[in-house]
Amino acid sequence: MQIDLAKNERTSEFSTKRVIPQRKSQMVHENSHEDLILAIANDKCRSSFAQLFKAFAPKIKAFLMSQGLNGQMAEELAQDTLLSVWRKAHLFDEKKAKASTWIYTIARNLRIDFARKEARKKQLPENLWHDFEIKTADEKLIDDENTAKIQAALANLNNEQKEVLRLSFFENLSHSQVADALGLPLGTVKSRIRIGILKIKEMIARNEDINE
Amino acid sequence: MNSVHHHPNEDILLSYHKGELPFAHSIVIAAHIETCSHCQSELALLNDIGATFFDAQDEILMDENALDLALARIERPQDELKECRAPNYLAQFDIPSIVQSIGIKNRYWAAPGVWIAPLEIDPKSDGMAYFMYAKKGLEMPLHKHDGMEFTQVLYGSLSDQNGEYKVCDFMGVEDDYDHSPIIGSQTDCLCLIATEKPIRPLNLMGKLLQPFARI
Repeated sequence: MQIDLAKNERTSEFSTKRVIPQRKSQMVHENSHEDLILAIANDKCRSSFAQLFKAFAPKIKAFLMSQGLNGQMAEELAQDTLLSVWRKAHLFDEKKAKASTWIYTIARNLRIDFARKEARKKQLPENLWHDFEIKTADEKLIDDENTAKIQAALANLNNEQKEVLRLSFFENLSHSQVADALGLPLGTVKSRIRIGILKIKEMIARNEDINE
Repeated sequence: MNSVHHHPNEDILLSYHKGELPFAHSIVIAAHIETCSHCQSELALLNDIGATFFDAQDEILMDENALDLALARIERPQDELKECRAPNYLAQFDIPSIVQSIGIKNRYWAAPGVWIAPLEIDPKSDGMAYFMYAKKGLEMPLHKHDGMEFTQVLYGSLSDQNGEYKVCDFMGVEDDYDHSPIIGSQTDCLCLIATEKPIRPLNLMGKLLQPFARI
């Protein structure tokens, strides 16, 4: 119910009929990554897909290689990620996630899926995509503004905190691997990660208070 | 409104985000997230932090013909997705959508007033995940866990020494924790449970029942 209401609110400023997201976005900004995904969802637009591919495949490949995949596997999973973008574009909701967050999450899920398949050669359920399908009444909207806040918050962390978060999130090391890599006790790593995330949350919250 | 009172802690959510949990446990977390806006927000934040690092990294060139390959692949028809219908005995409940794409084995009676229906996953690599239905007022035999046990309450309620768990609540039990949950007195209870290893019954009743319970 909430979803429909939100959609109506958003489109009513342009027309009483449902406005396709593409038209709205063309009025605001040309060919953002979000627009490209919407063009795939609405029109199966191949040139939009090609643009997205060029923008994201090399990033995805780098991301996967940073997580320990070899070049060939990273290349294949980057391909799979973009294929999923094509097939799941209709699930993309620009109010919930910006394009790069959505694509990153797909790549991350595929990497997890790949690691599990390696362990047992079995298919993961499609529904792990539900991260982006669920909506509840008091959902927190994730948008460009929020991502900018996170970037700002990350920039405000001290180097030690930033480094443990980077190793944990980006290189996907476990807490104990991060501890080994940095020569720190496990407890210190755990608390730095926790404090880092907490600080980001606080900075976002403070920012929201100021804006209100 | 979020009426969920018990959530997975930050460490568990981060492990879920990073794919470090056994598959059985990630299913229970996914089931929780489906109904919990608080945890959806927490997870969205983790996604955003990860995506921020993702955005900031250097790129690595794809193969020369990568785009041609991609454009060819999007033309191919997609395989039909496997979607399993929930069995009749679960029809009256709100079953997490994640479970519907996994498949559920036949249920069996584990003890008087208790039935179990395992998910079709491989216990060796994935851990065990199962639905457990228990009659109201029932006290489960005292048992201990080797490894983590995650429980998502789907219907009714249960309680242990840490409190009461109602619909949509999550109960995470660490290694070496012993408890004997009591099912709420008002209604029967349905849970989705993940364990790493079979439970260890600590009293005679539990030991007698374990061969039937197979959990």
